[in-house]
Amino acid sequence: MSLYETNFTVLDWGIVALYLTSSIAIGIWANRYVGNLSDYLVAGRTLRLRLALASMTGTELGLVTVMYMSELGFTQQYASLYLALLETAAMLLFGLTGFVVYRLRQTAVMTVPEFYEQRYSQGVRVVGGVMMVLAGILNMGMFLKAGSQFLTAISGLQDELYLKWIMTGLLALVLFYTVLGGMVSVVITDLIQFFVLGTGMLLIVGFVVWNVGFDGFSAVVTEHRGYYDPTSGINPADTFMSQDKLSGIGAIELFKMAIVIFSAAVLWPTSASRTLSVQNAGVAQKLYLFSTIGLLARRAMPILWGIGAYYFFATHADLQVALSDALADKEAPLSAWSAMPLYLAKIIPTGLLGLITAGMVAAFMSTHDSYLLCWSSVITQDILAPLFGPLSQRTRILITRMSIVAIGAVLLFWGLWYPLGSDLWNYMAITGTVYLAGALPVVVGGLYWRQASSVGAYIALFGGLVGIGALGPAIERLQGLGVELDGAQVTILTFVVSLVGFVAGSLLFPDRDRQVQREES
Amino acid sequence: MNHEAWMTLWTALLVGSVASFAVMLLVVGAGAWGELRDALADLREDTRAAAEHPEDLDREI
Repeated sequence: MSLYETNFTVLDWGIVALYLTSSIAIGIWANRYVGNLSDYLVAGRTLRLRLALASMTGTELGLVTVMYMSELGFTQQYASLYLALLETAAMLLFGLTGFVVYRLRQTAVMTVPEFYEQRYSQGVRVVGGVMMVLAGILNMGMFLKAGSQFLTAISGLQDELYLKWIMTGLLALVLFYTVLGGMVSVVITDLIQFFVLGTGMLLIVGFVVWNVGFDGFSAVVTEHRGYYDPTSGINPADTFMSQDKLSGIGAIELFKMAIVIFSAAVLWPTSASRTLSVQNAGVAQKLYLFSTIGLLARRAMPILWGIGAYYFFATHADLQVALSDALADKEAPLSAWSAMPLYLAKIIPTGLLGLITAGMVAAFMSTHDSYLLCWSSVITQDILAPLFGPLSQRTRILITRMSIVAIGAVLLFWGLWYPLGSDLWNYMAITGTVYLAGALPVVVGGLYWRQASSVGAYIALFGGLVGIGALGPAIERLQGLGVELDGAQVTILTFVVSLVGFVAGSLLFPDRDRQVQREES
Repeated sequence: MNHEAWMTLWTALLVGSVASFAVMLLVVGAGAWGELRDALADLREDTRAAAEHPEDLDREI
């Protein structure tokens, strides 16, 4: 058996193509339900619980999530499940208490930066919008590459140019239906994608459990030195991967991820936008509570597949050598992300592999559509309209559509045709921090602290930029200057800078009109 | 925590995630299509209003 051997055939391509064609039809059909701006951006706030749940799960369970979680399952085995545990705790906390979620929905805003203007000032809204879009587009930078690596590994296609054209086509398809139908298209396609993806994921779990067996899952730890204790900073896993791929977790990394995951659970813009699309604050809180299930699954199930891949390569000596050589070869179109799809391509039969690939393509599309709509609506509503408004609803819809296409073009060039590094999960966490570190104090303080001021908000939002210092090249530069900080420490520092800046700025420079109101009352 | 305690925790998490996701797929499947029909009915009201008053779309806000 060779490393690139796969059960993927023309039949599987046919199943994927059939699924994609149906998405085009939905895009055209959904356009008839867009009557005004609210319909386009938040589906007229008509979403009931189960529909919103399917849409939120479809959005947050993207192919990029599947790829980085399975990569962690492959490189850190059971220990990586700490992320699933943290996210479950966060979602339960917000779902049970309604903290932030309930009050944010009560404000009746359509985007998070709109809340900034309602609570602080128009300037804070524009700066917050810019930071959100910057971090969001940076965050999406790896999406296309992750999708491309999945298709490379699962289909056996090794011609990189050919794959780039396939991914370009997929992106064009998402752009088409999102531009046409906005949130209405997104919700309908998310619902279909939720079922295709959900069925595919359960099928994969079945195949992996059948392939590895319960004794095999135990042998991962007892015979193959699998990593299971995240509080330990030493990863004992087998060394058929290069050592830089075998980083340990440890206390500082746990602390950093706890901050990132708790803040992302409540404030990540695409989740927030779904919260703002539901009928009322009560539904928003319930949505968070029940989303725990989907968000647990998006982390735990791909990690299980990654553990299966680790066991498979650890027990197939010939493939282990081939994979080890491929991972060491910088020219090979593979990375540790590819282990899971390479594994699935060998254990899942033809036909079903097409269905599962359609599920993963669904995951790719359902995340892209929501993200594109989210960032473009922020550009329209929170950056351009405040600066150049007032604007009509028709103009706003037009600008949003143009922004979707523009963001798609940026992603295409940067994420697919421009070479990027491959440390996927860290990249996602760091780029997310640029937005989250600022948004966390500004939103929470704005909702719960009367003294929160615009100056504090500006400092917190700009403080998020410190997070860029956690990216690999910036860390190397810092260390070259004699500053001995690693990425986790810089990420924690970013949250501290934003929080301290927010509190200090608010206390030293209170908003005068609010102070007068307080004194009068 | 020792090895057994960690592995019990991770096994429970994995089994719980798969089982709860399967149940959610069924529960959402049972009601989401009906909710989609209701949401589209609400949206149809908006499109009708927009068709009757196209000037609303051109009013600056």
